[in-house]
Amino acid sequence: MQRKGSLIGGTVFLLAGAIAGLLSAYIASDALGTAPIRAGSPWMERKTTAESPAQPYAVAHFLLGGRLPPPPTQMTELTAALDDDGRRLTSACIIEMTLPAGPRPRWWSLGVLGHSGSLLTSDAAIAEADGTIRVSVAPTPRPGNWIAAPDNRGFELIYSAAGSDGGAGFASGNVPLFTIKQAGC
Amino acid sequence: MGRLYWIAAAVLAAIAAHSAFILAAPALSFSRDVTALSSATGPNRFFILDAAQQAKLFPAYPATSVIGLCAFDVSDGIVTLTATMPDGYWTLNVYSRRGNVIYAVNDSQAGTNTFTLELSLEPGILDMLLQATQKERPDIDIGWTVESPDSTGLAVLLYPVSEPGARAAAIRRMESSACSARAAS
Repeated sequence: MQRKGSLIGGTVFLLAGAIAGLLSAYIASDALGTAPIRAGSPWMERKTTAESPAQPYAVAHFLLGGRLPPPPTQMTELTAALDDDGRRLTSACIIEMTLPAGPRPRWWSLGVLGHSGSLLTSDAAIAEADGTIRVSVAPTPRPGNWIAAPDNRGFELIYSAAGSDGGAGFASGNVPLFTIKQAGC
Repeated sequence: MGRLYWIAAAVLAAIAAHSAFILAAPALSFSRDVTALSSATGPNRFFILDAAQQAKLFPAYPATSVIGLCAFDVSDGIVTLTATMPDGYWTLNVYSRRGNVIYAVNDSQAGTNTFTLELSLEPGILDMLLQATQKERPDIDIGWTVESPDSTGLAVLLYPVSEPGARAAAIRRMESSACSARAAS
């Protein structure tokens, strides 16, 4: 009788362990392998290079989400859920983004993750006379470069920078970044 | 003592479940997605991805982009991808069955818009030893040849297009691309 009870208890322990393992793997695939591209930057990079110790988790993040990981030698893909001051991005505010004049990726795109149709690309963006590119992210149309934000909720930006003029992608730490400021909340 | 034994077993079960999930679940998810995408054409056939499907797989690219795929299977021999790309920025990315990028090149690195890529299965350790001993190992690292660690995978030709009017012309050009299997000699 005591042996039977021990076996049942043991099975519960094993099941609990397996469930904890599965849950921790699922959570880790989202949380591990992502870090700010530069210290203090809200732009987060997910390292899928073989050298990264969290590579299996970073690749799992993309594949489990039904996406393909961007090729690290060609494309740097960054996401941001916060602005430069650390505040969560929300459609209650207008997000003003600026890419200063200077070296540019050969091709780039900027959009709202999971919000289809709201994507601006380098070949469609309008630059100012000095080369600066300003982009507004808001639920309603804005003058100049505008990206549609979803209504009444927080969101995440996705920025992909591909290929410098030399051919391959930028070394990820050198990718020119948009600044992110919130206004008109 | 008995309880300690089951706690240790539970920890081992957690580690096993965690590892199994991270190593197997993403690859299974990717395989399922690739099978679904290529269900109409089958393996070793080139096809242009439907605009609706590409938004989920490639959210960083405009919906008007043209994406050509070949779900390859090199288990029976070499697979040849002959690509014809339009002028401008494009990339070719080859993914293994586990979703790892095993080859990536862009237009600037390629220096041509028309090329042929040969995909074959990476030799096992035993094959490599035999070939090295018999001095039969061909020089396979030069040019447009990719050895896949897995027998199946996905080759992706990406051509970002922002202007809807330009999509049809890009599709016409890329449609002459082909993917075909060649039995091992």
